[in-house]
Amino acid sequence: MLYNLAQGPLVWVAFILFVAGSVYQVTRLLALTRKTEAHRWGRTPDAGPLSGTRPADGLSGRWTARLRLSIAGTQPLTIGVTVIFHTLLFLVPLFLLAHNILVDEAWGFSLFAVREKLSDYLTWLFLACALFFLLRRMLLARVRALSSFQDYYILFLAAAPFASGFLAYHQIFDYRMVITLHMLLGELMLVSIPFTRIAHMFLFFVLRFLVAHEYSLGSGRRVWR
Amino acid sequence: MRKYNRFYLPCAVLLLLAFFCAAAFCQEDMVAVDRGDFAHPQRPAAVFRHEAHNEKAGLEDCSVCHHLYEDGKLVPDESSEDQNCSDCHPLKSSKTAPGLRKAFHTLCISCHKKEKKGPLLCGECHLRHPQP
Repeated sequence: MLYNLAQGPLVWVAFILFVAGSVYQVTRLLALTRKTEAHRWGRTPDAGPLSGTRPADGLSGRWTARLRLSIAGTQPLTIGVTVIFHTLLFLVPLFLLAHNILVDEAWGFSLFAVREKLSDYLTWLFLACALFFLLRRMLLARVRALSSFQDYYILFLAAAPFASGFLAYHQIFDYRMVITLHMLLGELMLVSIPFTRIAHMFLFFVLRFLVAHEYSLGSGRRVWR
Repeated sequence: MRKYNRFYLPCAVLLLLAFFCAAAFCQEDMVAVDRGDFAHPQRPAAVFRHEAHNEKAGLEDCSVCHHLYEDGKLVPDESSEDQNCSDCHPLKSSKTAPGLRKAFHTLCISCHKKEKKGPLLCGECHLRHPQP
């Protein structure tokens, strides 16, 4: 039966593929880039948005200029939504009561869990953020131009476990079918992480810290081979 | 007319009282697990029709569920129907006894798993729209 498969062997298949795929992708990316100098924390002073600031602006002036010229400065709404989206993506399932009871049943220990009503509201908020991204991708011409099928697919992968979990919690539609779908969607997301753009979950580090560009946060001392 | 009133009114009151007392003492079949001990119950009460369940499960020995532990050891053939679950299982788990929620979950789920019968999923007991 699909339910037994989803709650048993498929969980392990998903976890193994997720971990092995992630390790493979990180090593592959590091192999594709080359260290130029020893890594140093902090960014190259004359790179990116900072090049527009002058030493005469002073330290606080440099920081406000840096903020103004960063993505947070130019796209405050999107950055706000994305911060909420990514925070909830991790926190809601991690501190969900039902998940923690299952973990406790299986392993004898669990994390702290919040009230279910709160998780419910936060799920609403998360789904609203996902809808914002979907509409943004469909309606803004400059975003649409850069979007491929995969961008919609990864948004679906992130939102679907939340939507199905929401339906399961409220017992809308056939409960057993919805909960089975919820598990399958979660496993599909886990497997997809290393092999789709959700890999930014760990590869963001390379782009943000190891490769020099105008939005990098590190000194970017790796270059492409 | 007045004379009759004096007689009938106390009789009616007594009759009503007797009726309520009978209703109170005649135990109606339990339909859901009592969640009154939880300060903030998170889910609808777990549906549990005591008589129907035990008939279906072929349970005649009360102590299978109404167990009694002393010093962390199960006392065989002793049962505890005269007590509330919460008398031994406080809200928080302790070294001697699992907390009330965990006790309920373990009691039902472990048996359902062992017998390979009965619900295991959260929403199969905590029904939001229970059938009458």
